Amino acid sequence: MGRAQRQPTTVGRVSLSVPPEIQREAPKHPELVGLAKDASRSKVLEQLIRLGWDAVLQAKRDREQLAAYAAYESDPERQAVARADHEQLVRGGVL
Amino acid sequence: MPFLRGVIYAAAQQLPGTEAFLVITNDRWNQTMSQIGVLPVRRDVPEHDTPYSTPLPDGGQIVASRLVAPDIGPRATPLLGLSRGSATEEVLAAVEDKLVLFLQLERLVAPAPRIPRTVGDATRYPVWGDIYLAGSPIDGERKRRIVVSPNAWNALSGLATLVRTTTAFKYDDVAFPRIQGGAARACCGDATTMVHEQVRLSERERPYPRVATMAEMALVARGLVATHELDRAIARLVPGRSAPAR
Repeated sequence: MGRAQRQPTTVGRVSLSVPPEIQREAPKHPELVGLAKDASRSKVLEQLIRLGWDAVLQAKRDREQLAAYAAYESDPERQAVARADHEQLVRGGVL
Repeated sequence: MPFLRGVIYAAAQQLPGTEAFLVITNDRWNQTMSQIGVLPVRRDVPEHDTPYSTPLPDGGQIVASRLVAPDIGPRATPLLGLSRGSATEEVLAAVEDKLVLFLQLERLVAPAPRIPRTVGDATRYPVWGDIYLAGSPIDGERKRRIVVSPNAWNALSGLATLVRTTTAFKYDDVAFPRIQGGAARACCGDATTMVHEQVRLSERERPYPRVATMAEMALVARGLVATHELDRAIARLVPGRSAPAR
């Protein structure tokens, strides 16, 4: 059995390249990432990473949801039931 | 052009009590599906619907207790016509809250959901959480549906709101929760209201199992929250509960 991978014990600090336009522009607009005007440059970049990860997860959920809905739309049983329910609705009683 | 959530559309034909519809299913659903969830706008609201109705500034009331799912496909008789504009944020929030309260979703999405099974007479009117055969027969067979509207309203209104179940569609998504031990799925996005005559109430016509478990009702509630975009209403109505990501 291999050794368990060592987990970081403190809040992660990593060294990474930040595209120059983000380095230049993002710290000027902390309000765009939901922070106070006087938020530090590092806080703004930290928040950007968090928002980026949330957006990735949301995009994945969106794709999965669309795929589920599209599959359901083409389900023949659903189509038949939708037509029958609709005709009942038009005939009256509820509306 | 798909119908949009939060927009009110005039009724495309003369209806006895309904003059318009508010679209309530989420826009991803509306742009994909040919059957969407809408709430009627009525001038006259019966007393049993009053607690679930939201007045509009220019008259009429949106009735959250009459959720229906018309077919908007090209072959269906059109029910939704031209746009009358969007409901205001305040009106939409009030409608969402009333729909959540009507379907008791705020209690069902709690960590330990508990709704007392009231002593409803399941042969006289559709009872919350019970499963019935309902709707017109398809290939000689009526579909199983779970009642999601409250018993007092079911008994008074002559109506019931039901969620269809299916064994044919198998796709993992919160909108289609597994029920009956995984043998079937509930189709939460097309929850619709029916008159009692469309529900087979007699003992001998009841399917097995006859009831959905509380855990299954909680899953159906989560499906309804997702398909009808009621997460903000849940956050408003359940203290300490934030709106989950959709």
